[in-house]
Formats: sequence, structure tokens, C-alpha cells
Amino acid sequence: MRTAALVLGLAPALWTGALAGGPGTARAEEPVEEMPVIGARRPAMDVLAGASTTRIGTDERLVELARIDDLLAEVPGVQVRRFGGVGERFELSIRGSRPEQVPVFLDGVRLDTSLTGSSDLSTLCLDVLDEIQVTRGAGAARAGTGAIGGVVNLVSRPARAEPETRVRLAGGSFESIEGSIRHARRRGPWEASFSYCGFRTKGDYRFQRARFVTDGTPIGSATILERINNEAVRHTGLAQIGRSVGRGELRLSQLTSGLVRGVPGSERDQRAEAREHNVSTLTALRFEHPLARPTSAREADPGDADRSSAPTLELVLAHRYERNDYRDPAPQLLLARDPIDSTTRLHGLSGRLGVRGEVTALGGLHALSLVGEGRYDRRTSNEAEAESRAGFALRAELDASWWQDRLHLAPSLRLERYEGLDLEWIPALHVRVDPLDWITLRAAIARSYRIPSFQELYLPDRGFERGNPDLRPERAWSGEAGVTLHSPFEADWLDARVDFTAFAGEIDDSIAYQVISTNVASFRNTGRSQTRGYELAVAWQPHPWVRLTAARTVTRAELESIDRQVAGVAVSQTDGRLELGPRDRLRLVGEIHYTGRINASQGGNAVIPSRISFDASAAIDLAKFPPLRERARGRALWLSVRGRNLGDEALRDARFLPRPGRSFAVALESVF
Amino acid sequence: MTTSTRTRPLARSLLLLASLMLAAGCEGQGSGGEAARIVLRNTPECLLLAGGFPPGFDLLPGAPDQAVVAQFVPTAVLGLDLDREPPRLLATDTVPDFPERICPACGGLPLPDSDGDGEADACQSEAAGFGCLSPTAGSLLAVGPDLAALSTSSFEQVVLVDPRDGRLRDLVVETPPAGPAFDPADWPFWPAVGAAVARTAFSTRVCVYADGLVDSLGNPIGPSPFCDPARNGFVTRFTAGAARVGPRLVVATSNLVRSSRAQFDPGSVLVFDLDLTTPRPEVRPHASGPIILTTGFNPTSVTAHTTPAGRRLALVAVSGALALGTGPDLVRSDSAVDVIDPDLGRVVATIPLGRAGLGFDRIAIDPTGRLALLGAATSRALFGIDLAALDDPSLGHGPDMDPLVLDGSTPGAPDARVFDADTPFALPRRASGAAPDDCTTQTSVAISDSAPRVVASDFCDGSLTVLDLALPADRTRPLDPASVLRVDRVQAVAAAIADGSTGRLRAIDRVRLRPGRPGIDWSGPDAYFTAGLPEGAVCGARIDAL
Repeated sequence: MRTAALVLGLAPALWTGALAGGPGTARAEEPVEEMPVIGARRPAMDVLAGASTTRIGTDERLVELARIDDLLAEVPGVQVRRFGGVGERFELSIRGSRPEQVPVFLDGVRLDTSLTGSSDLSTLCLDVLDEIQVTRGAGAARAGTGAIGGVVNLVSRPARAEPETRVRLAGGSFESIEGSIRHARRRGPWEASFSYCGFRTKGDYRFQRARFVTDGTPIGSATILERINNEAVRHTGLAQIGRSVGRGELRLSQLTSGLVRGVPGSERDQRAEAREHNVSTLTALRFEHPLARPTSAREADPGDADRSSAPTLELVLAHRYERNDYRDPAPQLLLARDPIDSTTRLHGLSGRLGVRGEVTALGGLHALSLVGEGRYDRRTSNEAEAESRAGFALRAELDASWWQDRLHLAPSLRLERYEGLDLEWIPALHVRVDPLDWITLRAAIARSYRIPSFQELYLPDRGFERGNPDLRPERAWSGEAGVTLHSPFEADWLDARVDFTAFAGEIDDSIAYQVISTNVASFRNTGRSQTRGYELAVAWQPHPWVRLTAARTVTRAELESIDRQVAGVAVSQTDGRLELGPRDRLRLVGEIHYTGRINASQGGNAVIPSRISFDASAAIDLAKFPPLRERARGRALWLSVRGRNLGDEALRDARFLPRPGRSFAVALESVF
Repeated sequence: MTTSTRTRPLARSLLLLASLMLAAGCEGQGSGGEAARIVLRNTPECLLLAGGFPPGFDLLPGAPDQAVVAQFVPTAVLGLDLDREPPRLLATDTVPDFPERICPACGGLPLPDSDGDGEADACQSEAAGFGCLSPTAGSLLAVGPDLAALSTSSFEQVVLVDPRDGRLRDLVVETPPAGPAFDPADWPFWPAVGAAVARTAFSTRVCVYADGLVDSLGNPIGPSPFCDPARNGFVTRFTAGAARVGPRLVVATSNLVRSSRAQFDPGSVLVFDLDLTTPRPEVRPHASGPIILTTGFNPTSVTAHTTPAGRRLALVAVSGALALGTGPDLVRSDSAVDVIDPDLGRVVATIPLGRAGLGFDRIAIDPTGRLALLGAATSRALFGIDLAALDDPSLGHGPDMDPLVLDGSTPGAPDARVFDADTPFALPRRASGAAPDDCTTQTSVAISDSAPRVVASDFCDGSLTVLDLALPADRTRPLDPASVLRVDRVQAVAAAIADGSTGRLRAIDRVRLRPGRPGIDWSGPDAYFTAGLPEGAVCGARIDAL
């Protein structure tokens, strides 16, 4: 509490310093828009008109000491389930989905693996990214298998016109230290960017044990305990080099990540010696080149403004490698006391060839895209036989627009087939209408599906658990309708935006890990689940120094067999954020996070009650203030401090996995 | 110079701020608000428990309206009021965890001290060379209205608990002096000879010695690293069921070595003297015969039986080596019911049942003491024995120390088998039940004390089968397997273990019938059963309404 008081006490002083810089300075620079941001940057993954997509720039949030999970948690419809402290694994759920139903891409290339069907984003750091894009619901289905809940696309840091170097060092609670260095530049036809971030933490923290309340009577004591074996060391590097080739561009990128960390187990069975060691790489080669402009388009409508563009050829080749080691010399599972020493390797090859172009016809502008994709994955393990799987997909999309882009109609169709499975048709239709300048109406409907992961199919038979080679793909459809309202008023203080989206969906043959026999668990296609809910996002900037955003998501994701909320999915989330100060030199941020009740069991009879937590951060660019203005080198020198869970609440997203209480971090970032 | 001078105070302030932030005192413990709660919501029929698969459930003798159940996480023993629907907890105040102590050798965490010796169990275990093992809840024996005995594995012991409030009960533990059948060195967690110490549990971790033994894989048993290196033997593991047989407590130890290979050391039974007449229960190993080897592998339950002549025996269900998995070949060795006379300290008779794979719940005995029924661990079946075969007072008193084999192969001895592996009583499959190829079921059985009625549970199908029991009035008349049991009806009380039952109540296990006459002695359910998923549960059902 003394620290919190100190922060509050210091805030006015910092505020005064900011004023010394002059309010006019803040207005002079174009601030990076707060989420949601549409159309400010070139997306690495094109987004269909009418899809619910949120884009978040990372630079502005790094100075607030935000992490990937923080940014994702702000997005309406996204629930981040955290299972431990700093550096620990977390999961994404979009509109009530499971993490396997949210594919993750890096610059449009899949990061999620066939091994588990999901991607562990805790192996990455925000520093290597430029932007995070989240597409929710129907707009994601075009990504192919897995995209039932949504899609996350991570956009790497591009080279800009001016060379830029950023160095950041951060330290904080739980003996954590983090550093990164980023450099990007262009020279002639070449451009290059290199990012590295390293992270180390002891990670152990104290927590209050959960009490089980049976029949109104607490069982067990809420003692304070130490959460052990949270040590983590992570190194992530992302290098990109690109070159103009004629009118096209060739780009090679290499992501490498290494992670060693303890696996602390559950609150009631803390594993002191369990450790995992993950190494992963993603190598991608991308070639884009415009083809000759089709003459027919110009001839068809010579009087038009002729916004047609030359078709562009895109070729992407990628290789994904993952190696996961997990060791526990003394597991305490009731029937599985054999030491665990598991090594799994996965090689994935993928390719994509596409052509996209725009033509004017029938009084409108039409963007057409044809894509062919191939994928081959092979898993080897010291516990099971090698398995492999190949698949291909064809995708056709049309984004037709009329009336100065006021009406968009975007039908799409994807055909996908994987070895041993049926051909899947994934149709989708998106509509966007802008009847007035300040109102946008959106609607979308799409089918989606997910093939079982290697883990689900071929989990080694240990007697008490095993995979199920007979699994069928999950099949789903989703639909949504929404409206975006911009303030129609000229007054600056009425600069506001409201997004509202209602969504619904249904999943058949959901794959779940469950007991199938006495003492045996496996994966099974279970019944149907239904999802419905809404997302509401509000952004208001009454003054250039005052920015207020809020988002609320209500999700009813129910298993048809019991009509109860799916385990792990919060029934509602509300996040509010107040940002004060001129963004380019000083910002004070307060955040409130409300999470509704979470079912802690499949039956819905064990419930984690709702809770509220508070975060706050302060960041100051020392290079902009008189005392250091003359001495500081470079463009910016940000000093940041962030406090999480300031109320020191007992937080948890799963019954036996406590999260830390109040924590702090401090960082210094130099930009030159 | 001027700038530098102006910079210093700000830099210092920032450094000071950073230092303060990073100080350990800034880190919270998550205790700023209310403690995290996991709220379990009862259903109209079921009391919900934390964690799945309640390992123990029993009716409290002497309290016909009460029962006791054990839950895994957090480990607790909870008394239940059966007069309310669903059953409600007897405890009204917080039921505490087992006391905890810090053990530096085991990660420095607070770990259970369930035996009340002031030291974490894991620390004791580590010091004795077994590694950092803490107790895991197992079978439950209701001893009286205020006393239940919980078997625990990993840290092998029996814990005494008061079901009314869930608190541990004090007892006095005493190690007898060395004798021909007892060596204190074989009982590493017991106090020194002559010392009567206050505890809340007593250890079942014992060194067992014998030559010529083999494990369930056929490997010869050599010296154990935990015991006398000069003698062949093993240490007991996986403490299982227990029964109070007169002044003795008889406890089975399954001696599972490795579940992935269905590897078991020979089965054993420990016999303790239990004195409940003193203000605090007193326990000591039965000096004249504390360790008895069973005739087969994996003894799982012990049930007290008193012959018409008043002889107190222990019936031990020897389940046989069982493998994990599904399918027909999970039973790797023969099953039997061993009959132990605790006073003699040995198995006096055995009833071989073939590769039955006996269930882990205790044996159900009809009120006349004639028929004993056993559930199955890997099939939809019941097994039975005729207890009249044990009526002979001379049983076990002959010159031959080997157990009498009561399967018709011993000249002059009766065949006690009624339903065995070759002729089990097959329970009907529920029409909408689990696919038999997928789900290998287990059964539990109970016999009414007020009506000729038997109820059996089916784990996979989620059903209770009600059977009519027809026993001859003449105890000497053989039991006819074809007529002694007849299926009355099968009723689903939970969902089957099937793909579409996710989230629904299922995985039913131990079944008990409330003593007394339904509708006369009470108005609620008369059958109670546990369910393992999606939460542990104790549920009630009215048999007549099934």
C-alpha cells in the first residue's frame, strides 16, 4: 500500500512535467489509435469486409509493460485463461471456444501445430511483434481447420523508412527480468529487421489456497502457500530480410524460440521437479509479385474511376519445427507413478500459392482471391510410433463493393481435405453496409471445422489414458451481426465510437478428454454445444489527454447435454481502461477487469465466483522533459512502471491453478 | 552542470521508486480480498463433493440416518445426514485440512501431518528412504457414529476421523515388544517399543519377508531396498480396505508396484489390536500374527463375518492382478475370497473364484449370514459365495496350516462358490447404456437388511439393478445359483459413460442400502450411491420408485 501511495503521490509531479512540454506538442503528433484500429496499417492477413477484427499496435503498449496476454484479453470476445504466474502458459478462448479452436498465425503463416492444435503464446514476447490482429467468429473460418472460435494473427515488426533501434530492459516481482533489442532498417532494395527478447524469472509466488464450499460449508483451510517450480527462461528471436524483386518482393523470416520452465502442477499437488523444454522454429519464405493488369476490366468500364489493380501473385513456403521435452521423475498421479520422460518432435511443411486482384465491373469494384494451400506434418515421439498427415485446401473469395464502398458483399468458399478424412466445404458470406458516414452495419455467417490433433488421435497408450484414432472432425457454424457507430458530431469532446456485435454458433462432435471406462480416459467426440452472446466496445476521447475504452462480452456457451455453461468459459467479462496524458510523453493508465463466474467442472456444479481486479501503469518519456531533454540520446527514453492486481485479489481461472497477487514491474526503453 | 544537478533528484526518485516496487514487500499473496472459493452446488438428488471419484463411502453403524464419505481433494472425511434430500453435511463449521507442517527436504512446502506426530508425513517418508510421500485417500470404514477409519496410500496408514466434524481423532499408538511373530524393525513408522504415543493415524508400511515368493509378473521376490538386505521380502503399498473384526482391525494392502505393467507384490493383510473401550482408541500390531499373506494378488477389501456359532472372521476379497485399460483381458491372475481368523493369525480357508477380477468395494452379506456377494472390477457381473461353508467351528483348527480350499476340490470340504468367474451372475445391460467394447465396467452390490432385496450398481451404464433374493430357510441346503438371485428391474440413475454424456452425473460406484424399512422408519431414499463425474457426489434413490 505504501508503494501505491507513492505512485499516486508522484503522479501529479509527472503530470506537471508533462504540462511543461506544452499541450500543443501532443496535438501536433498523430497518436497511434487505441484499439480498435481499422485500416491504419497494412494487414499481414487480409480481412474480409464485415468480419469482426480488432488490431492492436504493440509499441504503444510495450511502454506500459503490457504482455501478449494483456493485449489479447482486452479484445472483446476474447477470454485469456491464465494458469500461473509470470511466464506461465495461458490459453485463449474466443466466443466460448477452446484454445484448439483458435489458430494462431505469424504474418499469415500458421504457428499452431498439428501436435495439440493450439499454440503456446507464452513462448513469444510482445517485443518481436508490431501488431496483433484478432478476428472473431465467422470471419475466421476462411483460415481452415481449427478456426471455429477465431483467429489470431501476429504481425512481425517491419522495417520503416528511418532506421530504428529499440532497447528495453524490465524487471519486476518474482525475480523477473526481461530485455529486448530490436533493429530495423531499409537500404536500397533491401530491408531487414531483427528482434530478440530474453526473459528469466524465478517465478515463485505466494498465494492463498482456494476453499471448496460444499453444502454451504467450507472444506479445507485458506492458508497462504508458496507456489514453487515456476522458474522460466525464454529466448525469442525473429529475423526478417526482404528485397524488392522487380515490381515484387521477396521476404525470408525466421522465428526461433526456446523455453525452459518448471511445471508446477496443481495447487494441491505441486510438482517440484517437473520441467518442460520447448524449442520451436518457423521459417517462412514469401514472394509477392504483381501480374499484368487484365485489360478486360478497363475496357469493361472505361468511364469508371478505374480503381482496378494488377493481380498479385503470392507464394509462401514455410517450415515449422517443434521439440517438446517433458520430464517428471516422480509423478504423483494415483495410478501413474512411472517417471515421465517424454520427447516429441514435429516437422510441418506448408505452402500457399495465391492470386488476388481487383476489377471494376457491374458498377462496382471487386476483389477476387484464389488460393491453394498444402500442408504436411510429421510427429515423432520416444513414446509412440511416428505419425504423419497431409492435407490441401483451395480457397476462393470475392469482395464486391458498390456505391463508393458503401456496400460490400463477400462470399467465400474453401475446400479442405486431410488424409483419412472427408472433403470439407467451408462456405462463408460477409456483408458490410455503410448507409451513413457514421454508421456501419455488419453481418456474417460461415461454416467451420477442426481436424483432430495428433495428441487427440495418437496420445500414447499409458493404460490410464490414450488417444483415439477414430475421432471425427469437429464441425461448426457461426453467425454474427453488428453495428459500428462513430460520433457524427464535429466537437472534439464527442469523439467516440461504439461497436456492438451479437453472435451465435453451434458445434457438433466437440472433442473432449473424458473418462471412457473404469480408470481410463481418452478423447471422444461428444455432443453438441451452442454459443450465443454479444460484444460491446466503447471508445471515447473527450480530450486529447483523456481516453476511455471499455469492452463487455457476454458468452453463453452451453453443452446441449446439460444446458450448462461450458467449463472454463466466463459468462461475462467487462474491461475498462482510462488513459490520461499526452501519449507521446506521459501516460497514466488505470484498468479494471471484471470476470463473471466460471464453471470449474463439466457439469456446471462447481463454480468460481466472479471477481474484479485492478491494474495501473505509468510511463514517461524522459527524453521529452526538460531535465533530460538535452542529455537523453535518441528519440525516446521511456521509463515505465506497472502494477498488476493492485487489490491483491485471489485470482484463478481454473480451480487448482492459482494466480499471483499484487505485483509490480519497472522498465526502461530507449528508442534511437 | 546545471542540467546534471537538476537531473539527479528525479533520477534518484525514480530509482527509489523502482527499488521500492521491486522490494519483496510489494508482492501480494492474493489475500487482499476474500479467499478464492470453489462453490459446489447440490442437485435435488445429490450432494456434490470436491474432486471426482469419492474413494470411500459407508453407512455409520449405530446411526441409521447417517453416512460418511471420503473426498480426494482436499482430502476430507465428511459425515452425512441422510434424513435430508439430498444428503447434507453433518458439519456446520469449516472442515479443516489435515494439519500441515513445513518439510525442508520436500520442497519447503507445508505438507500434511496426518498422523499428528508434529512432522510432515512426506518428511517422515523421505527420512525413511521412501521419498516425499503424502497420504492419498482410499477406502473408508465406518467404525461408529463418531469414528471412521480412512485408509491412505502413498503414505501408507489408517487415519481416524470424527465424521461429525471432519476432524482427526486422537488415538494411542503402541508398539509391542519383539516376539516370534513380531519384529519392531519391520514397522519403520511405529514408535519405539514400550512407548505409547498420541497420534491421529497409524502406519501400514511394513516389511514383509518370505522366501520363494514371486510377483504377479512371475519375478522372484528378492531383498527389498527398504528392508533387511539379508532377507527376501517387500514393503507394503496401497493400503486398501479394512474391517473391524471383534477387537481387531484387519487391513488389506494391495502392494501394487507399477500399474502400467499390472505388477503386484504378493498380497498381504495386517492385523491390529484396536481397543475402543478407552477414552482414546488404542492401536497396536497384533503381536502373535500381525502380517498375513493372501493366497493371491491384490487384496482390496476386507469384510467382517460372524458365523452362527459366533466366530469372527475376516473375508478378504483377493481381486487378482488387474491391468489398466479396456477389453476382456485385464484380469491377469486368479481371484479368491480368503477367510482369515484374526485370532489364529492366518488364512484358514480360501474360495477360489477364477479370473473374476473382484470389485474393490466391501463384500455384501445378507442379514442371515448365508450369502456373500461381490462386485466386479472389470465386468458387468456379481460373484457370490455360500458362507455356510464357513460354519464349521473346526475350520482352520486342524493340523494342516494351509488354507482349506473350498471349491469342491478338497475331499470332505464344501464348495462355497455360488457365482464365480466361470458362472458369474451377469447383470443386464441397460438398453441405452455404454458400449461394452468401449467401457469396461465395475459393479458394487448391497443387500437390504429388511427385505430380500439386492441392489447392484453399474459404473458404465449408470444404472442400479434391483434383484430379488431367495435364500432357503434351511442353512444346510445348498444354494442354487439359478434361483438365488433374480433380476427385478434395471433403472438408470445416472448417465452412461458415453460420448454424449459429458457434464452429466455418471460413473456411479459404491452402493449402500439404508438400514430399516422404507416409508416406515424414514421417508427418504433407501439406496445411496456415489458418482465420480463430473464431480464426486453422494446421491439418493428410492428403490420402489425405480
